[in-house]
This record gives sequence, structure tokens and C-alpha cells, in this order.
Amino acid sequence: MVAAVGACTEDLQTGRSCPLLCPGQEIEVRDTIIDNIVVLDSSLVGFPFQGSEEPLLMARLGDSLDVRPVVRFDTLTRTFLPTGSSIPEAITDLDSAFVNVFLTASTVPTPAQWFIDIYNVWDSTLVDTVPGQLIPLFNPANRIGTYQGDTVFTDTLRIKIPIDTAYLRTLLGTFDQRLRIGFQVRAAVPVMFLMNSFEAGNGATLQYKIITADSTVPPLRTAQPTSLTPVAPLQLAGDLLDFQIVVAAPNHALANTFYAGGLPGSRAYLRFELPAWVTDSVGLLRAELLLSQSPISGPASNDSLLVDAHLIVANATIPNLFRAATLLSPAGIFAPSFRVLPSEVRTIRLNINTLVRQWNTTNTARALPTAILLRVNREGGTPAAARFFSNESPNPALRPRLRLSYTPTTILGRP
Amino acid sequence: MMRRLAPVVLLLLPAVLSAQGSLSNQGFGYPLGGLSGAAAALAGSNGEVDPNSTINPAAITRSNRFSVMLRFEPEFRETTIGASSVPSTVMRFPAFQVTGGFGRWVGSAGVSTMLDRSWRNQYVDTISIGGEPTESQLQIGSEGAMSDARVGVGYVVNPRLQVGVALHALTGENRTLFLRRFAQTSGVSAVTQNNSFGFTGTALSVGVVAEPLSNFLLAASARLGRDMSLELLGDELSSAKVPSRFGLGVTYFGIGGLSVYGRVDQTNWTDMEGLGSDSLTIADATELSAGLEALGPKLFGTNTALRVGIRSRTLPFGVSGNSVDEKGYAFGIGLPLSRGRGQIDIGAQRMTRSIPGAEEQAWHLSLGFGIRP
Repeated sequence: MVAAVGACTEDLQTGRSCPLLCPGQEIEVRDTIIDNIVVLDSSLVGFPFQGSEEPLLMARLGDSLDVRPVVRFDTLTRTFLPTGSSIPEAITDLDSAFVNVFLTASTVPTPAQWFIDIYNVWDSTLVDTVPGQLIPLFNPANRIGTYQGDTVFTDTLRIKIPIDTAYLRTLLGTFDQRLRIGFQVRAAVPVMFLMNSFEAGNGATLQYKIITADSTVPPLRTAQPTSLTPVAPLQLAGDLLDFQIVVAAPNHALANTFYAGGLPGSRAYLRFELPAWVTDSVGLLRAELLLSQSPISGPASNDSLLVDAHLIVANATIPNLFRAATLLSPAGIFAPSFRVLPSEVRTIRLNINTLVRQWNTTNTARALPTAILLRVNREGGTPAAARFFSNESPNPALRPRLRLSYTPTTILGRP
Repeated sequence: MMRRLAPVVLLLLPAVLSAQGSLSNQGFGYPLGGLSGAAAALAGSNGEVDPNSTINPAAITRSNRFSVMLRFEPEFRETTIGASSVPSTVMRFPAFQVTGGFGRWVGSAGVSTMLDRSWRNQYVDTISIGGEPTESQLQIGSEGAMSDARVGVGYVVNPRLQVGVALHALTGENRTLFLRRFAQTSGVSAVTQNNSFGFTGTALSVGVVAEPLSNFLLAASARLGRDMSLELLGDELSSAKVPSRFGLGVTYFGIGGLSVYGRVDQTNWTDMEGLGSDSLTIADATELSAGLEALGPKLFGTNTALRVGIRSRTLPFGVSGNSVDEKGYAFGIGLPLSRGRGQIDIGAQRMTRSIPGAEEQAWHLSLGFGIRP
């Protein structure tokens, strides 16, 4: 019998006789919009953490934007070993020195002529982790080199920024002196580049050619970024191999709004309170979070911005929002990423079906924390931000809302 | 007891899937009628006196030797709506019965498909979601049947009068799949639900076969339905009554080598009202059938049987308030084997079903195997 049954075939495409002869296969679809679902929204500024920027931003747009990367070379080769000798000798003369930098063009068109000035911004009296203290060190007395760019590149460019060899020779001769190079870009018009960080690969390296009496000694010395401070925690020293300093940047904070992006980078935290029937009692077809954009003007505001939506996996036992904002699901798992034009006035429809379906309750507690986080894909790498009206907006129509399409729970398949 | 029978029933009566987009598979399914292979070839006209049909418990006395009967019935149908036709196929093993006698007593036990609900649909439609027309694909199906497990006993009062009584346990389940999915780009999540509906119910049937006149048989039977319920995950969803049935059959075999059958049957399917959803169209059904059976040429020294019949009935479950009428004719042959120790009944029924706006033509092939060791 089984063999006979298994040998049978059938045509399942029955569209021509349905739905007339297929009663009970329809579903009732209801649409509704729920207001006041966001019970907490906040812009958490300070992301990514200093030293975690990938890539590093180097920008100068008049007085509105000034961002400068810093790369530390705390450990330098100060001696060489002559051929046949076991006694190192001090490097006393240099032929040339330069820092290699890998640049990527940004959304701001590259000017016809641009300059990168480099400074030694090391000062043993300053606190490592307060970048603002380094700003005064970007002064002519500390400038150790300048690169003049006459290349209008649109993709990537590797450059060698020459370093004052006399300065470096003196530094090499002083044992406790360190080289921490601050980069500052300038042009007659707005200029903005992205510089590869050490963590991302192709980061900045220091190279210098030494001059010795022994011609058999290889002259080229290459130094990777190193950081000897802070001593603890050790990981922080690794993070601070290279980082960026935001000297000036637009402030996107505005009353009754929240935003993601900008410099320093902000993450938007949204916590929801949903009626239990939404998550527990209906068959959800579509759940869209409606976010009304608050337009932003300024640098890069006309460039599209990719915003990632993450589920915050931290539960209520972590009340610190900054801490919670780091405990995230990968982007694209529970909610899709979306693009915004920061200068635009538009309502974003963020599909959060998967999230709402997961937010069912068990013993009156939600199975997953009902909070999401919005962050721009190039966090810390763009001055632009996506800003939205919050639940405190005086205009109810601009507040975050949830648009639902669902089917009431019914038993399907019953004749 | 009935729950324990369910897996056995499902094993014995498998059916491959066909489309519900047909007139015959509405509601709780298509009624097979409990006919044997021979009765199917006579369009059911001898159902009241056929020992291998699970209709009249008194008729089992007409087979007092130990015997086993199994039936296979594939259906090939074409449903037409306007200018569009949809072919579909279904395979069924609708009946299995064992009988045996001891003196004047004859007992039987068997399982037959009462309502077969095995089908699957796959089609595309468009529905409005959030005010936007959204295309979706449906995959909907049901497997299983409501089966009638019968244990009966007949008693030969005298050569002209037999009576019988049987207990029926209605059992089985419908395992349903509902999947409506949308294009990924639509951002709409799928709706999916798998259910397993179980049936339980009991009934009692009584019957009589009499020969009041020479060469003339009169048979009658009734099934008295008791409570039945529809369950989902062990919880009772609804309850109703097993449909009661009353039937009357006449047989005349006074012409040499020829038997003439007539049968009228009334099944009160509306006793099941409340078991399904409110939108279920359900109607009582009257069935009329007539048939002729003649001795055919001999095969291996034993006569074959040539059969022909006609039938008209209403199907229990309609479409959108319309009842489905079914009319058809049948023919077949009974082939004896091993000098009467076995028999193969081959038959075919041509059925036409209709409602306003739709028609269905179907061939039911029937293959019955009988063994009398």
C-alpha cells in the first residue's frame, strides 16, 4: 500500500478553482496604528569608544567641523647592529623619514589642492585618556612635517608624509622621548578623508632611513604603532594606538528629538511598551515602527546615511543605558538597516516584525528586552546624523508610532 | 479505545493528497459510503444486502465463512469553473473488513472511511495589507479522514430472516497545514498554523434482511448516532451527533442468472452541525441507486459476475450555501479465484457533481480483494 501511494503524483497548482472552491482559506487582516509605544528614548553620545574608530576621520570644514587623528609610536628603534659586531650602536644620522598613510575619499569631494600637517603631540605631563588636552599641541612649534596633495582622488590613495629628519634624529637620541603624530588636514575648501586605522589594517606606519658608516647595514627602519600608556588597563593602551580627536563638530541635539550619528557618535536608544495582545494574541503580519525625521543641515547632511537597527540584549538588570547600548544583537538579524538623507523630512517605516514576534510574554515578563538601538553604519566616521522626533514631541503625529497589520487568532484548517 | 484505533485507521486508509479546489472535498470531506468493491460496481445499489459493505449488520450473515476484504479506490477528477479546468488525483484505501461465522452467528470487524479529507492546495492570490495589495502564496492541506470502525454481529433467525447489530466508533484525525507567505520584499511575515483535529464518536446500527416472497429480498438498516466531538490538542472544540442513517434495499433474483437491486438511503448529515465552523454548508443527503448483476462467462470453472448501476445523491458538504449534487453510473466485473476462495472485484464509477457555476467529472476506479481461506 505504501509503495502504491508513494508512486502517485499530483498537480498542486489549484489556483484556477480557488478561492471559489476553497472556502475557509481566507484570513481577516486588520490594520491599526498604536501611539505612545516608546516609553524611553535617548541619544547616547560617545560611540564608538575612543580608539575604536574604524576608520579614522580626518576633516576640516571651516569652523563647523575639525577632526584630527592621532597615531602613537611610543617604541622606536634607536640603535643598529653593525655587521660582524654584537654591540649595538646609536642611530645618529638619518637620510629621510616619513609616515605612510592610507587614505580613502569621503562623500566630500577631494579639493584640487590640500595639505596634511603632522605634529608631535606627545607631552608627558598630559593624561592619556583626555584627548581634549592634546588640541593645544597642534601648534607650529610641534609641526614636524607637511604633505601637499595635488591629487583629486575619488577612491583610495597611499601617501608618504615627510618628517623633519633633524627633529626625528634628535628624538631618537633622547631615550624617553616619544613620537605621537597628530594629523590635521587643511584646504581652501572643505576637505574630509578617512584614514585607515591600525585595527582595520593598512594603518599608519613610520619609516626612516638611517645613515651609517657600514654600508652593509640595511638603512630602512619601519615602526608600527605602539602605545606604552596607560599601563592599566592594558587593553586601553592597545585601543589608543590610534584614535581621533573631535575639535569641532555640529551639535545635533535638539529638544524633543533623538539622533544617531554625528561626532562624537551618538546611538539612539528606544524602549517600548507594547500591549500584550500585540505580541501574544494575534498573528502578526507586519509591524512597522514609524519614525518622523527631524531634518539636519550641515556637513554631509545631503549624503545618505545607513542606519543599523539592533536588538538590545541587555535585560532590565543592566540599568546603565551606555552599558546596555553595547550589548547588541548583530545588525540585520531582527530589524533591517535603512537609509536616510539627514536633511530630508520623511517618515521612516522600519519593519520590526521579527522583533515584535519575539517579544511575547511568559508569566507577564517579556521573552526579550523590548528595546532597540539605532546606530549609523559609519559610526564616528561621519558628521552627519539621522534625527527623529521623540515621544515628547508636541505634535502627536510626529511621535514614534507602531503600525500593525495582523490577523486575529483563529483556528485555521477547521472545516 | 477510539484514540488507540486512530493510528491503525490512518495506516490502513492512506490517501495521497489532492486539491481541495474541488466539489467533492468540501467540509469534513467526501463520503465513501462504506461500499465493497462489488457494491461500488453496482453504484451502491446492493449495499443493504452486501456482506462486505459496512452498511447493514444483518447482511454480514450472508458471508458465514471466514473472509477478508480490502478495497483500493483511486479517483481521477477534473473540476471546471467557467473555461478553466483543474485535474486532480486522489488514492484511497477506503475499506477493510474481516468476517467469520459460527453456527447461526456471524461476526465482522472492519474499518471504512466515512469522510475522506485529504487534499492540498497551492496557489497565489493578492490581499490588502495596510491598504497595499500584497501578493501571497498559499500552501494549505489536510491529511487524514474520519473513519468508521465497526464491530457487528448477525444472526440467522431462519433462512428467510436475518438480523444484525453493530457498534460504531468514529475515529481518525485531520492534520492540517496552513501557510500563507509573502514576498520577502513585502516585509510581511508569513502566517502559518499546523493543527491536528481529532474525532471521537459512537453510533449503533441495526439491520434486517428478509425474504418475504420467493426470490425477493427486503433489507433495511438504521444507524443511530450518538455524541461526537472535534478535538484540538486534546481539548474539545465542538460537539455534535454522529449522523444518523436509514436505508432500505430491495433485491429480486427471480430471473435466471440476474439480480436486480434497488436502494434508497437517507443520511442526516445535519446532525453534525456545530462540529465545524459556522460557515460550513451542510445538508442531509438522500441517495438513490439501482443496479443489475448478471452471471458472466466462466473463469477457471466458476462464473464471473457482470455489474452495472446508477446512482444519485447529495453530498453532505456544499459550497457557499449550495449543495453539491452527484450523479453517476458504474460498471464492473467480479472475478472468482481459486474456486471461490478468493475474488477480485474490478469496477469503475463515472461521477458528475455540480453546483451553479462549477462542475466536476470524476472516474472512481475500484479494486476489491476478497479472500476466503
